[in-house]
Amino acid sequence: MKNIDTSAILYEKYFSLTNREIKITLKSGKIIDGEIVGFTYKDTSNKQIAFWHFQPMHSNYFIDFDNSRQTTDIIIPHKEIVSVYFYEDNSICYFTNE
Amino acid sequence: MDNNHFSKKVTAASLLIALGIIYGDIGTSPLYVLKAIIGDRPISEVLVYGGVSCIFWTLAIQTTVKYIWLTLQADNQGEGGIFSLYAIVKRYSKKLVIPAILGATTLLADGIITPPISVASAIEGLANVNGLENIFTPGANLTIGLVILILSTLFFFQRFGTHNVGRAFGPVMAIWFLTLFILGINQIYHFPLVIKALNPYYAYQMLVSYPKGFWLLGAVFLCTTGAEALYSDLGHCGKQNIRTTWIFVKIALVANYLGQSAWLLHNGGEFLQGKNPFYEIMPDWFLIPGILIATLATIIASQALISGSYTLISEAMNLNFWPRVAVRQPSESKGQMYIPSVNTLLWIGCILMILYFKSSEHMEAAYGFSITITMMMTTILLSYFLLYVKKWNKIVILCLLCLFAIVETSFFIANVAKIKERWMFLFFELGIFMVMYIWFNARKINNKMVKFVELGKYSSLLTELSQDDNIPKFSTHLIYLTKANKRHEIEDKITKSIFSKKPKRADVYWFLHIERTNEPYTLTYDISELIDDKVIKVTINIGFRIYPRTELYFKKIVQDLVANKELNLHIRPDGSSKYNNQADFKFVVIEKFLSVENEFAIREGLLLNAYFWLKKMGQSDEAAFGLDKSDVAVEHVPLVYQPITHIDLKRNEKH
Repeated sequence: MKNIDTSAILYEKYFSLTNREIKITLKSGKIIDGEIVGFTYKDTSNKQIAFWHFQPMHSNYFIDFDNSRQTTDIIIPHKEIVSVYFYEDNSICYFTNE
Repeated sequence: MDNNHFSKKVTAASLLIALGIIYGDIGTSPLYVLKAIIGDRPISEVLVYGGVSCIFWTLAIQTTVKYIWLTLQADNQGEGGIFSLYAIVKRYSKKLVIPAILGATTLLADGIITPPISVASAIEGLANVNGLENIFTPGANLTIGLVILILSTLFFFQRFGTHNVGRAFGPVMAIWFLTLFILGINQIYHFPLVIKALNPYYAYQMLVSYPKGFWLLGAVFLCTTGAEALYSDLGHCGKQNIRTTWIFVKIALVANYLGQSAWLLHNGGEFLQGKNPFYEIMPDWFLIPGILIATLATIIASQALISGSYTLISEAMNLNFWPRVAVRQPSESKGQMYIPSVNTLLWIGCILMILYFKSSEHMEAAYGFSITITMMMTTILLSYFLLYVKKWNKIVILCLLCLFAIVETSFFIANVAKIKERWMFLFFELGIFMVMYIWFNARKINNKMVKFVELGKYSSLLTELSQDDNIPKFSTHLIYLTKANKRHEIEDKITKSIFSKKPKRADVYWFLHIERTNEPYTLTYDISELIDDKVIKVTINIGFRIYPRTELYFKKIVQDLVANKELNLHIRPDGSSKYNNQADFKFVVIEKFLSVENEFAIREGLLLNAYFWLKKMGQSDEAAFGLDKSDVAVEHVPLVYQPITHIDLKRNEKH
């Protein structure tokens, strides 16, 4: 299992959805509802996604067009994710990260 | 140089080419190796036979077994060299970047001492000619001046390419090796007992019994410098040509070393007294032609080093180890390149070497250290290759590793003793290493901050913007370079660039991704139309040995699409089409700079500041990607990595 890129699994699943509302459970126990609005790789040579930019539900997504750096998305390290629940098909992905 | 690097057939012509390209460095070692071993020590059988025995077994183990047999198997689609090897094995461990950088650094550093030591050794032979004994002595101003002249001429002509003179390299080196062989055989014929020097017992005896015998390995090692070139130039010649020519080369080298040892024992007297046994075994009538051939051979050796340095830096750039610098193609010959900045750096380095050390004898002391490190690093990468790619038995790999570790560590220790002679070298090597380290690691930090977003989220906005006639058109076709290699993603900064302040309206939005492949000569592309004729993603796959000509490739792609009726050029009638009804293409390049609104940890701060400073010194993005300046709009975007979290700003109370 060590060599499987679990971020790619989440990426493929998420971007195939029509309804992109999800519920993420973190290792800290925190649970957040919302949508993924972006992501960051570890580096260009390593295509594993290291961080997800997540827009919590009930907050207005602010597109930082003017580089004002005032955004409402939160950055979640992929390795902190325990599970992701997809509202569209009621499926859950569990991530037993290393 | 032909494209087909996989099938290098063995022909007389290909063998001659291999001789001309590969063996310059290792082939000119007889000019100084035995002289370095003997030095000012009393000439004795233990020393002479021991030295030759060490040379023979070094060539056997280090060159024949390690490079000719093993390392040549580690080809990356027919290409060799430390970066090619790294490209194959890097997926197996992140830490392999360190041996790759270290090996490349020391290989490059070696490029500033090989030319002066080789050429100086050849020119100093003129002191053996009657009448010139007091004119061309080692260290004399005239000798130094002549060496500088030859080297400067060589470096000057790099910009014109070597395709014309290159044809002569093979025949010259063939004559050189024949000369080595005949001179050696002539001495062996008269003193055949010297062949017993091939017995490893003499090597053992010298290392163990001779006073400070172990430290002579520093001089012995000089016989195998240039072995790395056998691997680096694999792509130019092919495995079989290298293996076949090595038989001839090794016989010639060993014959010459044995011939020199025969002279030393029977005519050398008690001390060498500054003589060079290489020239002493030449008949008087052959001295001047011999020196001429030697000088030509050393020039060819220097040329090979220079070309090898260009290739190394080019590969380093493509693997993100070196800032982008200008690369020129001096001829139509594929594989030939010229890097002005590297050329200048090497030239200055070589001139400083000869001015500082003055003679080849002093340079011998400084030579070799860098190459021991290169060889050790190649061994590390090679072991990963044998384990994970070739899947050899672990015990076998361990045995080979132990063998090379013992040999190379011994050479390393013996060469470290010479480190005080070469302190200035260390600064040079440290400088190169730091550039590679900073560039590689800072790019990783930089890339971690690159946020990617889903392109689909902006599709409707892009379509609306494209059709909004209230916004002045920025260009018909607007092209952004993107690092995103997935179909549906682009960088956040690109969406900001399109929609910020003054939105950029275009008829077609192109997102161009350059994918550098681990194979050296790939050149293919993929197209993905996210919105028909409106938003198009293109991925161009370029091999790591190819210099990217992005705009040229893009225009070819557009032509292909138009020809296949997959693309409408969208020349919509508007005000501008009255004057020019051609479609216009505009590239937007986003240049980042460190914002003042950053608060860094020390390491990150140093790395990133150094990185952006190096970036300024290097080539711009538009030049690096082969974009013509007239079609490029450059936007400067501040980067905030670690925003300042606390600002103690208070409002003054009104009174």
